[in-house]
Amino acid sequence: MISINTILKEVLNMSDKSLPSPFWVMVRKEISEHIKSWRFFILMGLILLTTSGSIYTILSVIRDNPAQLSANNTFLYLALFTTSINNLPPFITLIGFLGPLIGIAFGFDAVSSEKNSGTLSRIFSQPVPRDYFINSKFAGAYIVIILLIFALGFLVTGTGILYIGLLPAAEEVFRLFMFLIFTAVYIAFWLNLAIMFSILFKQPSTSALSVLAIWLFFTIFYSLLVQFGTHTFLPADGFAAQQVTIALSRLSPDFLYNELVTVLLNPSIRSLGALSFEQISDTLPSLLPVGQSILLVWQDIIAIVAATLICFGISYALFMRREIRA
Amino acid sequence: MEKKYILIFNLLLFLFFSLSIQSSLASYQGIVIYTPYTSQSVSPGESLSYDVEIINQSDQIETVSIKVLGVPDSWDPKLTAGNTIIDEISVKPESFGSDFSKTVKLDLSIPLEINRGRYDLEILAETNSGLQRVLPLHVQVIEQGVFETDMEVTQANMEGYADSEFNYNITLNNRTAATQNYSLVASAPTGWGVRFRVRGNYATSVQLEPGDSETLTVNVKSPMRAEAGSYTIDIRAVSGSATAEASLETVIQGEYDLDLVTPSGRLSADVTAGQSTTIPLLLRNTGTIPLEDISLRASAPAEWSVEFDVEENRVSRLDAGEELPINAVVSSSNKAIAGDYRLNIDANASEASANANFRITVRRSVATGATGLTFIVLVAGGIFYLVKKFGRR
Repeated sequence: MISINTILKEVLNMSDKSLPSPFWVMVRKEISEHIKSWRFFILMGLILLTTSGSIYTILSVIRDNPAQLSANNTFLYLALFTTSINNLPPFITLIGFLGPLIGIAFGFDAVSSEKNSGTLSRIFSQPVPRDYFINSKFAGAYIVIILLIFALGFLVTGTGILYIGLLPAAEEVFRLFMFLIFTAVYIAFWLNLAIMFSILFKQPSTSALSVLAIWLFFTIFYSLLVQFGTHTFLPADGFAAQQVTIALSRLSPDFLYNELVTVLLNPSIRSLGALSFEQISDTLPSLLPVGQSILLVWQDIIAIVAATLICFGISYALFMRREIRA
Repeated sequence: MEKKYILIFNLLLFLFFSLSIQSSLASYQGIVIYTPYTSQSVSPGESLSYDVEIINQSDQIETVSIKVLGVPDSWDPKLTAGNTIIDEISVKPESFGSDFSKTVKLDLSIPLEINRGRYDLEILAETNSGLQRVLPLHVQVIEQGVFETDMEVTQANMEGYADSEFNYNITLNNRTAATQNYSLVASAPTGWGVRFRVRGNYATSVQLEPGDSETLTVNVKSPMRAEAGSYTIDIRAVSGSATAEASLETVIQGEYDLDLVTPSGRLSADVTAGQSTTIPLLLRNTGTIPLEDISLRASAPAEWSVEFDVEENRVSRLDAGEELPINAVVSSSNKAIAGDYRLNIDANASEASANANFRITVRRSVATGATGLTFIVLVAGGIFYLVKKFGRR
C-alpha cells in the first residue's frame, strides 16, 4: 500500500515545486479511501480465490497432460485465460461475472453517502469547480480498477511463465493487453451506472439494490428471456431465430463483453453469430491476426465504450443539475 | 604191302579229319569288333562318342591293341574304358564265363573350324597273334564350321517414354578356339546412357572361354526430354581377334504433361472482402508433345469469381517445354468472413491436366469500423457539450 501510494504520489504530483492541482488532490483522496476500504479487500479476496482455482487447474493440466488442451490451440497463454477444465469456469467468465461487482461496489454510494454525511457541502465550500467532484469520483475508482485488473492479468501471466517456462509470444501479449483494457472499460461501465444510481437515489442501499438488480438481470435472466422469446415466436433451429437471438442478446452488456473477450482471446474464431452456407463454403481453418479479431468485435467495442461514456454523461448531467446544498 | 596202304589211308583220313576240325575251329577263332551307330551326324563344336564292343570268340584270352585311323589330331580322339584312357584291352574267351566282350569308348570332339562334309575313319584292332580287324566309321558334319564370335539379341526393339530405362538382353557366344576378353562398347546419340550388366553387375568387359556364352543386359537410359521418335544404339564386343556387333532400337513415345504453378511458387494470396486480387500463374507444358485446347477453370467459394486473362479461359496451343504466364483475377464475395478460403484452379487439356490449390486469406476492410467510430465521436461530443454547459460555474 505504501509503495502504491508513493508511486501515485510520483505520478499524480506533477512536480514538487508547484502545489498539486485540487482535482488530483481529490483523486488521491478517493484512491486512498478505496484501497483502505473493506469492500476492496473482500472483493479482491473473492476474485483472487476464484480465479486462482481456475488458473491452478489449467496450469497443472498444462504441466502434466498438455494434450488435454485443444490440439490446435497454439497460444498457450491465451488458453490460460479461456480454457475451462473440470467444470471450473475459465478466467474470463469469472472476471466477466465478478468484475461488474467491483464497479458496483466502488460506485453505488459515491455521491449519496457524501451527501448524507454532509461532506459534499464541505467540499464545495472550497474553491473548486463543481464537476471536479463527480470527475474525481470516477477517476479515483477507475484508477484502482485499472490497477486491479492489470495486476491480476500480470499475476496470471507471471504464474504461467513460472509454471510453463516459456515466454508469451508478442501476439499473445498484445491480445492480453487488449483483453485487460476492455475488461477495465467494461467494469467502468458498471462503475458509471452505479454512480448514476448513487446520484438518483438518496439511500445507498436503494441504489445498490437497483444496480445489482440490473446486473443480475443482464447476467442471468436476460439470456433466458431472449431464448424463451425467440423460441416462442420463431422456429427453434432456423437461421432467422439464430439471428434474432444474437441481435437481442447484443443489447446485454454482459453478452457484448463475453463476445468481445472470447474473440480477442481466441484467434481461431472467425465470425460472430450465424453464417450462411455461401460464407462457409470452401473455408479453411485458420487463425486471425489481432487486427482482424479486433475488427470482428469492433461493434462490441464501440457499444461498450459508448455505453460507458453515455452512463458517465448522464451521471455528469444529473449531478450538475442537482441541487446539492440542501 | 596192303597193310601199308591202309596205314597211309588211315593217316590221310586222320589228317583230313584233323584239318577239317582245324578249319571248323578257325571260323570261331579270334575277335570281332562292333558298334551300333557307324555313321553319325554332328555340328561343328559338338562332341561325338562311340561305344565299341570287342568280342572274344577264341578259346583263349585275347589282348587287343586298338588304334583310331584317319582322324585329324584336332578332333582329339580319346579311347577310354572304365574311366581310364587305354590303347590295349584284354578280353576273356567265352569258355571262361559270360564276360567275353568288352566295351571301349571312343570320344571325338569336332572342332569349330571345320568344313561341311563326310569324314571317314577306322578303328583298327590287332591281337597279339597278328589278327587284325577293321571297323569303318563315318562322321557327317552337317554344317559349315565357323571361327568367330557372335552376338544375339532376343528383342532388339523397345518402346517407352522419355526419361525411362530400357533393358535389352543379348547373348555373346565365343565360337573361337581361344579364350577371349571382350571389351563392350556402345555408340548412342548424345544424352543417352548405355551400360552393360553381366550377372547383375555393371561391367565394361567380359571374358569367355572357347565355346562359352554369356547373357549380357544392356541398360539404356533415355534423356529427360528425348523427343518422340526412334533411336538406334550400336553395341559391339571387341577382343583382340574377334568382333561382334548388334544394333538396338529404342522408340520414344511422346508424353503429355501439364503443370500449373506460380512464378514465385507461392500458393497463397491476401484479399480484402468484396475486393479482388491478381494471382500470377504459369502454365507449363512439361511433356514432349504440344498440347492443344487447354481450358482453365477455377472452383472458388460461393459468390466469388475468378477470371483469367486469356480468351474464353482457353489456351489454344502450348508447345512442348513452353511456358505461358496467365493472370487470374480473384474477386471475393463482400460477405466473405475474415480468415482463409480455399481456391482451386484447374488446367485441362484432353490428354493432360494440372491443378493448383490456393489459400486465400480474407481480411475485412478497416473502413467498416469507421461508422462505429463516428458514433463514439458523437457520444464524446455530447459529453464535451455537457462539460461546456455545466462545468466550471
